[in-house]
Amino acid sequence: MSETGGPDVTQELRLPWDDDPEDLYEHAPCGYLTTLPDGTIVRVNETFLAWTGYTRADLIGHRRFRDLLTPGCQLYHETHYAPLLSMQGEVHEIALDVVCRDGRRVPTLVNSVLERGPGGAPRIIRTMVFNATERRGYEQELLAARRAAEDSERRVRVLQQIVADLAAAPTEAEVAEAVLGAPEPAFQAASSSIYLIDPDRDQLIAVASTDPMTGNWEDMPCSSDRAVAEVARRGDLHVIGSLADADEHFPDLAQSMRDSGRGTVVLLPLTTGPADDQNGATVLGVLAFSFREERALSDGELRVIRLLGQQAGQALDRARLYDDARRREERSLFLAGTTRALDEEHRLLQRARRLVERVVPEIADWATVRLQVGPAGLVEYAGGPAPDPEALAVRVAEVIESAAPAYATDGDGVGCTVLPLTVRGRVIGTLALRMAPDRRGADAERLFLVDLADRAGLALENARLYEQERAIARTLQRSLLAGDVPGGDTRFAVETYYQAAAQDLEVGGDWFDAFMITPNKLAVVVGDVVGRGIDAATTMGQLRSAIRALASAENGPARLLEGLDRFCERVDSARMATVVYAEVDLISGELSYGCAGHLPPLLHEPAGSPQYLLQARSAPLGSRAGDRRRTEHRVRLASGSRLLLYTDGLVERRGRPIDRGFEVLAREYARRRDAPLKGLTAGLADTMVGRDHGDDVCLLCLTLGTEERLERSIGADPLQIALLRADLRGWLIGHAVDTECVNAVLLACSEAVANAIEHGYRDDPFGVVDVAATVSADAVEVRVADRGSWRGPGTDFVRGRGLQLIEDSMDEVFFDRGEGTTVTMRRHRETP
Amino acid sequence: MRTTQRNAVTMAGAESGRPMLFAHGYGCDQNMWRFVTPAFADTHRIVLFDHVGNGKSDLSAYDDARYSTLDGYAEDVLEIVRENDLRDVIFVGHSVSAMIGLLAANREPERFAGLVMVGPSPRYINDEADGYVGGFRRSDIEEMLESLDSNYLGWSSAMAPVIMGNPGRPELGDELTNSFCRTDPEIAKKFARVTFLSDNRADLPRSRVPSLILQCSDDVIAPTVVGEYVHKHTPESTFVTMNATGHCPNLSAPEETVDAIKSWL
Repeated sequence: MSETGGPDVTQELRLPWDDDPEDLYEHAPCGYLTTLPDGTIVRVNETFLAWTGYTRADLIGHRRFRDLLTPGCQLYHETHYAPLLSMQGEVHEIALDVVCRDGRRVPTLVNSVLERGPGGAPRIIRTMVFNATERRGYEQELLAARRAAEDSERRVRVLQQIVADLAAAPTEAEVAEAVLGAPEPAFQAASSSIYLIDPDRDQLIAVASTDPMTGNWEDMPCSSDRAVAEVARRGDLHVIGSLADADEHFPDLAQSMRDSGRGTVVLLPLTTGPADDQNGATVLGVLAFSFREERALSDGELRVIRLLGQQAGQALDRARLYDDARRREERSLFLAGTTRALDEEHRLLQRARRLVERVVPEIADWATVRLQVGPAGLVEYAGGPAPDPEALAVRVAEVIESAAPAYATDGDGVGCTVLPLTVRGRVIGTLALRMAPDRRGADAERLFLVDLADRAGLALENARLYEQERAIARTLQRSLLAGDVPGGDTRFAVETYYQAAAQDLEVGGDWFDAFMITPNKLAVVVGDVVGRGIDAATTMGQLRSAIRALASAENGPARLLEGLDRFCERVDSARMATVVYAEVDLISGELSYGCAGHLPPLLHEPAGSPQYLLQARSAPLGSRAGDRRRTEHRVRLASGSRLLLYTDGLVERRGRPIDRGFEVLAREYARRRDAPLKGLTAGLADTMVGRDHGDDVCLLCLTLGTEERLERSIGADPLQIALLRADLRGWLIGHAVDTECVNAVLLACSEAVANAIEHGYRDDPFGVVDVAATVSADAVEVRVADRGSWRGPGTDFVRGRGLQLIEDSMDEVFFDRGEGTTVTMRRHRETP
Repeated sequence: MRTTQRNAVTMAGAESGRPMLFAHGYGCDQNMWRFVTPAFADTHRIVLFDHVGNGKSDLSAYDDARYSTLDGYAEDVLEIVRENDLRDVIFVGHSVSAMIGLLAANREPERFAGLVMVGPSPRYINDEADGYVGGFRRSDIEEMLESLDSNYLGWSSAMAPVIMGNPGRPELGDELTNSFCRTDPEIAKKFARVTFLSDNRADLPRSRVPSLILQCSDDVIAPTVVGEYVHKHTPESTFVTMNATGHCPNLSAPEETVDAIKSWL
């Protein structure tokens, strides 16, 4: 080694990392800036200047750091970077774009530290700037990829939402609505329309559109050469990317794209069936959506669009099946409901009425049923307006002639369907309906209508038969019951009443009868045959005849009932009939009765209250159980006794114990003790069962001795006399008393009552005068009684002016002075 | 109360004092008032809150429709005022919140005694049609929205629970940088869009409440010409130009900001 020319070892000996701090600052591998708190640059290193092309003179003291940023980054700097730095004292990794002197942009990452002075006030900001060009490029790619992923995710979300909406949409209309709403959020389409294929009419129906004004949104035949129909036939997704594209392939579409300012149109068939075999897929409709601009669709978007078409197609298919199933269910419910509703009405007219009311408005807006019954036929209609009557009459005649339905078709001039009502091969009438035109399911609809007509025909025929039978039964019953009840014998009187059930049910088997066995022996009967209708009426007639045949002077009730038991062995329908049978000896007044399963007779003797006759009870006729020994019971009746025979309809009422019914009957019967026999049974039936009764009611009331009483208690008021006179007059006339006798009795009675008030109750305005009148075959007797004291002038009743009048009017007058005064007056009747 | 959680409402200061309601601007949260509020705590009731989507507010309460205009934010302010039965309120709003406060006060002026608008701008984008200068072009705003994407790469799922106030992982708290003013990037973008694309010029003349406009020197976001525009069109307004520079005098020059508000009060 020499002293000269040798290498400078001092250079060699310096450590390679022992940098000059100044050099380190200037050439550090990052930009370095020092700024005042307001951002004014006070120091900057060479690295930053080299990157940006600025000179120190450009920056120091002249520019703030933020001035070097793009406007967008300035905003970010001011809203994020500066506040954060103030609050935290430092910020890291903020991405900012620096604008170079020549306008280039350098993407950077920035770290800053705020340094505070001794008082805590901000002093300077040190900022390091890293060149992040490549990193930012990479980040941009990441961001782009993320955006694409987000777009895709958004589309998938929209699709998922649509799939969920489709799954929740039960009807075709709702499916169409859900599909229609898809393209806008998923692909930012400007508008969309949906067309559905109607296979029955071979038409593409324009169902819905977000913008119906776009021009060519209208129905078209499936065979049309328009783009929508073409795509429906092909079953493939078509993207018409530009007007030029449309001009080349679909002129009609090009026109509407021009009209509505569209750049791209997508025509998506809605398909169902195997997705991998396009030939096997069935096209149910077409979704058309469009974009204002020319829109290129990515492969991902096209996949989603195809998926939408399949999902929508499947949903449509399901909705159609669901629609069909629901319609079928609705129809069968309607048929079942109609059958039930018709069953509720038994009469023909009401049933026909019920039919048209069921049909309108549920399945038709106008309906008429015509039945060939009676001389004029029967017509019931509902709804309106009615079609042209002449055209309708022609169609009705055709249907009756051919016995085949005539369905409404477009433009046939009648517009309504006429169905024959056929029973056992015979047309009994027609049902004509006008319905809203239905787009689909025509065959199913026709089957339904035929089914409806079959059921209606059967129900109406049954009503007609019922009507016929009912008429026969009523006639028969009337003819049997109308037989002569003995009368004109002053020793007794019979009042009968028969009330049919209020609801139009079949006739019942209740009956009554009264006949003379011998000139001095009367038989009375009330019975009830099991069942209803024409059979019951017939049996009732047979039993009635049997009783008349069996009744004899020797037999008596017990033997008669035994005879009826034997009768039942031959006439089975009479079995279990109930009968009460009584014979009255008109000379001795002896009653002999027997009760075969029937309700007990009710007897009211002149004195006392009504009593049920509970002896001589046994089982119903022909019964194989219960007490079958027939007995009879005898009881002597006082003159004026009333005996009531009745059927169960009188005392039975739903929801009321029968004992209570007996109580009410006894009370009502007692209340009518003084009422004339005439109208007694009708009044009793009216009170007991009213008008709304569900069963027939049959009553027979026998009065022994025709004498009757009228009793009144009136206040000591002369005004009351007029009321009494009116009452008495009606009662006398009701008993066929001759006019002269009536006038005489009224005069005498008035005078007697006036005397009682004037003299008996001179000091007692609350006194009561009792009046009792009786009518017998040969005389009218009136008794007037008071409980007054007869004081003061003219107290001698016998000398009063009234006495003379009374004695002149009446044949016999008696006075009884006891606790008050009773005057009894009698006038003989003229024998007719 | 509903707003307490939704808007992370915090109360401090003199219970019986006149309420001062501080509203942060875009990009930050109620922390930005930390240097200002102590000066008023002795005399006023201090009410702070975060707009929904920011700070510790309930992110799940964010509703696209409601917050698609500044009216939704103004309705939030009114709900806070009503639920806490605040009367005679001094509303202090920074940046976009100056407009939000104006909208709220226009709707229920009886609740408000005054508006302090820090760096207000009724419209950020220039309107060439009538010569209005807002300071930005539409494309600047779009670029800013782009830059949000770049910076939100730092918004990782690990940080989200901490930021959303989930204390399940407290160890993360220390590691966080830029821990103030974080927000969900999607909401931040929407808020930015609403903020920078709105036009509230027509609302200025409807003001019925005395207002103070604090204008910073050299504010790129709300330049002086914009502050002057606000002053000119807002009745009963006082205009104060501050020495403070930048857009956030409440952070960069809190003393000057406090003094300006105090002297106006």
